[in-house]
Amino acid sequence: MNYGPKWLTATALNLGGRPFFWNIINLLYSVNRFPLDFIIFLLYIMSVNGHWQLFDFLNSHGQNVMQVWAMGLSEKERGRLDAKIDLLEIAGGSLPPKLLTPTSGKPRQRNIMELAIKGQVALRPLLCRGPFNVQNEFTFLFGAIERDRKYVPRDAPQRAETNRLDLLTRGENGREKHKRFSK
Amino acid sequence: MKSISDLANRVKKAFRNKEYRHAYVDEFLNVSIATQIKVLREQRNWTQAELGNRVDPPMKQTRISIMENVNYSSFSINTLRKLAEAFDLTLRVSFESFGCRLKDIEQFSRVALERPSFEDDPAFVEREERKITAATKAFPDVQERERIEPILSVVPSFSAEAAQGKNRPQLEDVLPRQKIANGVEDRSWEKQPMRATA
Repeated sequence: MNYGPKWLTATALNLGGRPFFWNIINLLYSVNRFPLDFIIFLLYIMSVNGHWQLFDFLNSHGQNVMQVWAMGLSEKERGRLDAKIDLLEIAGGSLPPKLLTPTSGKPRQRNIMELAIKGQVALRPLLCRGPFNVQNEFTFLFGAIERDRKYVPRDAPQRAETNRLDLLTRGENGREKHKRFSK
Repeated sequence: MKSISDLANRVKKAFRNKEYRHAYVDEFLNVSIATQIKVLREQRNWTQAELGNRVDPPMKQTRISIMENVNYSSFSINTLRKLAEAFDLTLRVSFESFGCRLKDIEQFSRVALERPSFEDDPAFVEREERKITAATKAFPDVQERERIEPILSVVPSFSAEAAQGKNRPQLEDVLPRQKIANGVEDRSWEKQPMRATA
């Protein structure tokens, strides 16, 4: 497959390598031979608008599980949480090193990742890529904390996986756009 | 899809709370330092071990790996100064307003974090050298570069004379030749019909 000129590849990678948009541009360039000016315009749009989409899981009562979990958090904790989530939205999971890490414990949940937030209480929101569009979405599935290197609740990754499977069954009705934790 | 300015507006609102904004920028600082170390290392095509060896005194690869983690927060100015020297950069530590930090959040990307080392710093590179460096970077393949060089040489801004300020293109150079004949300006070229191009 023709991946277009090197400079175009380099530019796209420098913009954060957002694969979804990059595939579209690549297709336009290689198949239809769109004018370069138009591709440059698209790259500009990508640089301005190319955010990742974040969602929160809704439980069977239609409640946002992350907002329910965050009810008791202090302003400091909310600030730390929002900072990392904003960076996830801007840059995705690959640019900031180890922003997203696999969950620990057994059985290992391959689809679930954690966003580690240090502080007096070690916050561990659990999330997954997609699950509907794995290329530019993340969905927060479950809120946990970590104490003595163990999740509280202990089965947090399993619960997150259950929510992910539930979301796949319910479709888009099972989630909503992510809400900030700031009051 | 949300735009970056939309995010900035949301952050601005939330920043009204003092505890929140201090915790937010504290976390952002940790993430941006760790990310910049990784970005600068990758910009130079170095491994973590290579970077460790370039620091004086050398650091272990594991220590570099720890610093390239967004959850690490125990950076000392001394360590950062050593890393800056290894990257051939200068470290800037200053107190900033929250508005300034907002800009950093908006512009957070790989490109925004990359910095050229002294040898590639545009402020210190002669124009001709810069051309060669840019051409080499844009076309690493020798054959490809040789193919493109004749094209670059006819572009005035890329030629060696232009770099020294000689033979700067005049208006006559870009207009038809017959324009100035016997000192009389011939403007007949303006009346020629436009030719359709395929």
